[in-house]
Amino acid sequence: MSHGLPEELFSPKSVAIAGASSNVDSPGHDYVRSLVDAGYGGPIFPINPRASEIAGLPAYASLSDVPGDVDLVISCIPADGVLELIEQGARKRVKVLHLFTGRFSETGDERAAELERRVRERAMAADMRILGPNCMGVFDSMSGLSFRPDLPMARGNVAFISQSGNNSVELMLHGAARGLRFSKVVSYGNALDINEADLLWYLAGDPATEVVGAYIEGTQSGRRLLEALRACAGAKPVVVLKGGRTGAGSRTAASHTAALAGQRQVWSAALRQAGAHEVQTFDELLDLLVMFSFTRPASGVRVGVVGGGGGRAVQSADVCEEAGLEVPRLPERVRLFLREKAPQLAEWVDNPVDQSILAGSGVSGARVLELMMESGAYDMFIANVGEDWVLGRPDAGERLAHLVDRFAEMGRRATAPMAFVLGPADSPDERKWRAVEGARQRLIDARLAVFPSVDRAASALSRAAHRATR
Amino acid sequence: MPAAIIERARAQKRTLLTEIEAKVLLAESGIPVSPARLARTRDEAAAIAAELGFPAVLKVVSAQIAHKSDVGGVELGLTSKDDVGAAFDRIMASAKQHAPDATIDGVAVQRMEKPGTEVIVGVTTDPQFGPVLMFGLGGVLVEVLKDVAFRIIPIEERDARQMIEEIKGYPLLQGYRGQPPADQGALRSLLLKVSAFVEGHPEIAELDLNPVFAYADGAIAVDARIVLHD
Repeated sequence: MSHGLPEELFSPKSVAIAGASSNVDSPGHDYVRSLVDAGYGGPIFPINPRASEIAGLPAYASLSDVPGDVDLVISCIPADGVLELIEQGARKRVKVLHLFTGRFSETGDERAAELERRVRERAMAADMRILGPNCMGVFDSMSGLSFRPDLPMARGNVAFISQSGNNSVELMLHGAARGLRFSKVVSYGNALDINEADLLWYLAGDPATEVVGAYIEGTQSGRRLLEALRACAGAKPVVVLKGGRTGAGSRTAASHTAALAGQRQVWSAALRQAGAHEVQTFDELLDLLVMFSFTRPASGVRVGVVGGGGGRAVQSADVCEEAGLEVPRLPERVRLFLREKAPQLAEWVDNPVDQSILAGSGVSGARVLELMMESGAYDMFIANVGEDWVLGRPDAGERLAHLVDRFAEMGRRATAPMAFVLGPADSPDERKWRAVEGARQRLIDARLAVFPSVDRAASALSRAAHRATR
Repeated sequence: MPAAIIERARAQKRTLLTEIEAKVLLAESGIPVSPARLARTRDEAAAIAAELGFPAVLKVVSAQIAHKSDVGGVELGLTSKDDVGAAFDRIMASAKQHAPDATIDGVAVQRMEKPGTEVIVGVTTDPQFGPVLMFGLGGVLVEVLKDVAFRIIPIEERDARQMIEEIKGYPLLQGYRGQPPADQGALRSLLLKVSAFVEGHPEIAELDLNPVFAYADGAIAVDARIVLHD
């Protein structure tokens, strides 16, 4: 199959949902509701022989009863009805059939696999592309396509493709909490027809997408995937989480999506060769998408760190160096300033800047960071704004908000990548919890890269910077 | 000539090429190998050794004998024609005694190369990505620590450089304790040539150059093994 995907996959002029349901707790209802809530502009046709109305829209007894042609059909019906759906779809000139319908080859059952083969044959004969089976389908913030009513619809620059449906939902929800906004998200399941290589080729040339994430368990054609990855990574950052790297993971992968998971080393080699970033965990995937989404590429690996007390500063230096970054000492220019403003600290303060030394000196951590940014001695910065001493004050919320706003202003102006660290409040005290969450939201609203720990910030900065070594 | 080697193996329903066959194929593609030639008699062995240079190495050649040293089929460090002649007789006698049913084609004669840093270059076929190239340090480092780097074939110059630099044992190739650094240019060139060789011979399923001796100037594959697809 060619990698030219039909435009109707992402911008269909009409959508029908086979197996639409009035049960608000079912996928057949969710798909209708999602399209309505997401503001999809074209006609939506719920199909259900026993309902007259679903989610406020008139329902049709069959696809054949729908007026006019249909571009995209979302199937929530059982597998044994899919061949008939394709026959009706062919007469409606359906361009894309998305099979949420599962229980195909992923079950390991030979009859189900045979049905899958016939579905593929009939769809090809009808010039109909298939997404899935066994997948959530397409999200597109521009055309208002969504596969769950609670997905964040803000238009954005991040695309994500996933062999797993629940990973696509989790990435969107957790990503949105970190400020990510999505262009397109595709859960592609068994990849009977449209596969990861087709999607990567498409995203390589998609003007709405600037950063690409992928969760891939296996591939039918490593060569095509390698070429697609190369094309995509040549155009924009691509971050790949390969599922099923271990023996146990591979067993789950085989039963999950009927894909053969390859050897860990070979996949790592292929990803590296293509210029994609390989990550090992979901957290790393999120962290790198955040990094690429909110910061420009670093020109080197010299990091300036501000924030936290003495022990934290030492640990920050350790994790930065262990992540492959350099932690150069404060440049003379910054020391000159300190000698003037706080002479007793001038030879003591260093990078990472220990906030506790500065306390009461009249020189703030933010001011030192500002000077470090102006000095040209650093390629990237970490601002650790989770301040325990602030949280202990009665006016913690306002103080933290003020501190964060100052840092956020610097982050907005920064040309070098800047990572903000604000961990969870880890406190049963609701007042503290609100203060921290409020501060985090201010940073995220300012479109800044926020990480829960210095370790994760350092790792993401380092990985993003080493892209240039390819 | 190379095509003939593969065709002959196919005709004989073999997937494993002999070391001599493998080395002829590799040498044709410009890959530096220590040449090996077949001797059927004691006199041939002595003459070939004299031509290739001393010290010489002799190895029994038989499609039925996979582990040559187990049957006394390998003799090292032979410094004269007389030495080679005597070693030829010992190998033939020992092989016949330990593997009476094996068809013995003769003995492979090659020069014993001066020792260098041992590295391994290999190719395997991945079910999803096809031919994959491997590089690592030889001996215990590859066997115990699995300190190897992979790339999908074909590779580019940059891939060759990264493969060499990303193994943990890389400092050993940069020179240590007064050892001269290994010729990384020669290793990169070797990797690129093996990649091109396998790309040009899709019949090849597996390939091992183990060991390759890396010197301060140049590198040479001392042993070679090629397995064809079924």
